Amino acid sequence: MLTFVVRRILIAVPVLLISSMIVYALVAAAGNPLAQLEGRNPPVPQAVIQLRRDQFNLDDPLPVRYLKWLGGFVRGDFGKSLQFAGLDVRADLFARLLVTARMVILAILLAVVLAVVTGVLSATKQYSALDYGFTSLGFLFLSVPVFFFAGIIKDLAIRFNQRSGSQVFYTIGEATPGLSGGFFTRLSDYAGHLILPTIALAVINYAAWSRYQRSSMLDVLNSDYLRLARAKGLSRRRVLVRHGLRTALIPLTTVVAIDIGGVLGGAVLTERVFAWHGMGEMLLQAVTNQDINRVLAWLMISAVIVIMFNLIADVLYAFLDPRIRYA
Amino acid sequence: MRRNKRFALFAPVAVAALALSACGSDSPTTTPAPNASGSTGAAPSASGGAGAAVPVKANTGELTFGSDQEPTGFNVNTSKDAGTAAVNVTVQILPSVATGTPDLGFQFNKDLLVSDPTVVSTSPQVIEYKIKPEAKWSDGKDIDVSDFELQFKANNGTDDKFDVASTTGYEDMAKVEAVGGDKKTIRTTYKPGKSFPDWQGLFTNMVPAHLVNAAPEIHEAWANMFNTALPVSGGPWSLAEYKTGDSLTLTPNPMWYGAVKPSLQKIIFRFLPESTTQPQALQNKEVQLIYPQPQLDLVNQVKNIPGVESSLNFGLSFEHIDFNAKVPGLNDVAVRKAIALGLNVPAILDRTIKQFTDKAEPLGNRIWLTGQSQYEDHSGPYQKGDVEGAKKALDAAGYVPGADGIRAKGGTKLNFAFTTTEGNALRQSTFDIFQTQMKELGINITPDIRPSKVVFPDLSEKKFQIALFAWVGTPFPTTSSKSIYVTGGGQNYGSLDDPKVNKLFDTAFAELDPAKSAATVNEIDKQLWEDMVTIPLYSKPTFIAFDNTFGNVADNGTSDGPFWNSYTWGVKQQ
Repeated sequence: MLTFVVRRILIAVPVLLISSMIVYALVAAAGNPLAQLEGRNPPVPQAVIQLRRDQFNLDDPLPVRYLKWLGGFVRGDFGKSLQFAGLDVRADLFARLLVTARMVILAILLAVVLAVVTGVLSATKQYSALDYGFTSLGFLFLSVPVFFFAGIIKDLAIRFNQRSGSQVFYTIGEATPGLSGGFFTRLSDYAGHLILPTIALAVINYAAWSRYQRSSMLDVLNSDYLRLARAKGLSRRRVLVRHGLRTALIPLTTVVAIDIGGVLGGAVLTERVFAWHGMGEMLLQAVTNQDINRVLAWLMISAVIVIMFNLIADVLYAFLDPRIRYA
Repeated sequence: MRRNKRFALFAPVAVAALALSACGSDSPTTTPAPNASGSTGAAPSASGGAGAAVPVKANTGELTFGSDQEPTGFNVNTSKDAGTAAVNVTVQILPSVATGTPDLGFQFNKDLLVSDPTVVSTSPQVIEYKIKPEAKWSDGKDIDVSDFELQFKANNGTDDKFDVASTTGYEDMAKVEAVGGDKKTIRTTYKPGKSFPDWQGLFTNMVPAHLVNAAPEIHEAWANMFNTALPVSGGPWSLAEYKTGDSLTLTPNPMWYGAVKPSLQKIIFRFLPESTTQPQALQNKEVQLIYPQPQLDLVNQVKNIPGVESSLNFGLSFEHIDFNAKVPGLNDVAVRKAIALGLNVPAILDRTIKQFTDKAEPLGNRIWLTGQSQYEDHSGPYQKGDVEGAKKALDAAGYVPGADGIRAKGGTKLNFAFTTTEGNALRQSTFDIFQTQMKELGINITPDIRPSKVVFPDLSEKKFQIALFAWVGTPFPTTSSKSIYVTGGGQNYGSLDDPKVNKLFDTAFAELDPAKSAATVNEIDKQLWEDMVTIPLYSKPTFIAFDNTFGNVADNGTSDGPFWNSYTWGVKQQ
């Protein structure tokens, strides 16, 4: 297993390198990052524009620019932002990663638990009212865009606040700026800000995952080894949970692990709608403004996360299915 | 898609003043705006406009503003930081000689200045400023000639290592000096033969010279010292905290020397780039003030929120259609005039901004705008949709409809591309209506709708035929509009070449009397209607909405924006 893990990590290095080259070239080719500055009226003095070009090595050949960036990156220097002068990209990146992680991890946990529970219930009570109910709900959440759903839950939350006369739910941001108070005051404030975006993000993922889980559980329920286990006298609960569910979780594990990697890269729409200043907002700002250092930083961290979670998925595979052993 | 950016910065008076509308929305590219901290000549009313001041509780309350942009830094004199987002913060922190007012004029800063600046002589032009003895930075240093000297030194264009948004006005200055050793009495002397009529708009958002000059490298300090902080304040507010990417907080400056102290305990800026989140945040009392680009749905949504006061006003930004007078067909003034004759601007207004304000009117002047006291409507028969008149004019000029219905003369077909920025519903509607109206005249219009980042460089390189975009006006349009309309001007995208216009601008520039200068500017506009290289359409609205438990919040359509009088805001006395 250790050999397998090390081999996977080593393979990831050239993958990351090639990805960074491709993205660097694409962003550089997207246009002139100083176009807006150069198009200002009255015109910005040419010397000023040249200063900015020198600061970001824009007159160097592309391979030279890339190598300079790479050299800084491996030393831990992710460069400065082109849009926000003086902003250290690395510090900004990790601050935003924490913001996104806070929302995403909770949303993923919620979605996984709900998906597993409803998927199993749907499968064990196939074609029942419960099954149809969960299926309809799943398809409804799959078809409703996140910004629309977010708008609805925000409206409901505001009405609740108004009726109750207290600020329970918040619709923007990850915390109240300048809040003073003890630990529980802050916790309550964080929770109030976390609820709505967590629900919105959880619902999107829950919808798809519950379908996977239902389908996977149905396959397992019809298998011979479960029938044998029941014939041997094991309780239905033990058969379902210890034997059936464990196998049925394998496909979901792969899907969740891959999805987490993608979502941690920034739940762009969710962050936008709830004004969370996380990785999603960073990507949007960076791409819009051709802020190449920020785009590359986002790419590298997202790629590392995706690779890491794929590896975790493979390791979990081995844990869930004893037949799988890695050389 | 709604506009997502709106900058309206006062140019250091002239040139900086008019700016392109940028970025998908009709936000103009910015140039530093003259802003002032201080006096409220036009007192705010509770209803979002100028009027009687509302009594508020002292030292009470916090107001949170939902800002759709985050500043990139706070030295708004630099190209990188010039923008509304920064001006909203600095307008009451960095001292300025004058401020824009809600009536689209300006007022001198009575907290900073002993009296209005005086014109000591006109040849050479010499202006004298007297700073109050008590005017100090919050660290106790005097606001004096050194701050003016730094502003001049950085902005006059002689040292290209200074990052500046514009050198307008300062480049015509010869020197800045204290008078008789009194550092609080400052004279600016302009170069021989140079006059600058819009001098009132200079020396705005001045950064603390004592900090910049003390830094190891002055250019670096000028550009980057104020990226994330304003260490000292020369106004009623101080920048107390800034969490990059999240929020910033202003608190009252304890060393504020002005007569009126801030009534609020804090003003918090929260960055909400998605403007659709703002109405719900306002309704949920997470923010108490928003200033988004007005769009129909957003305006209607806000109007239905109880306990919120809102108003639509008209600022100094205006939409217009420009012709490239070098393009065959458009190089014939008869064609341009026929288009203006057949163009029905009220019909455009009905389908665009009149959906959420019935106060909108066609704009009949390219330089003075609706709401400015100097405004005169010179449109005459144009903009009224006189289709028959336009057809007759084209017939008389020899443009005859072909088999395809498109008029042509001597091989030149009246077939033009219409350039504007994408993602803007109002501009899309304007294009649709314009295309339909021109079809009636026998002129074929095709769309060329692209991202603003591509459109604006093309405009400046004159790679267009007909274009729709916005300029931002200022209270000082003489100098700001010159580069748009004089031969060879940097913003003269239409390639207008009229010696009469050039001469009138020279006259206006030589005139330091504002009333006479204004009259000359109106003569310029009349001549521009004869040239018809541009057609003004309408002034663009601004939209402000705030929690009505707060008083004295008032819209300001100049580049100083709604924070122009923020030190008077407060919780209303019940």
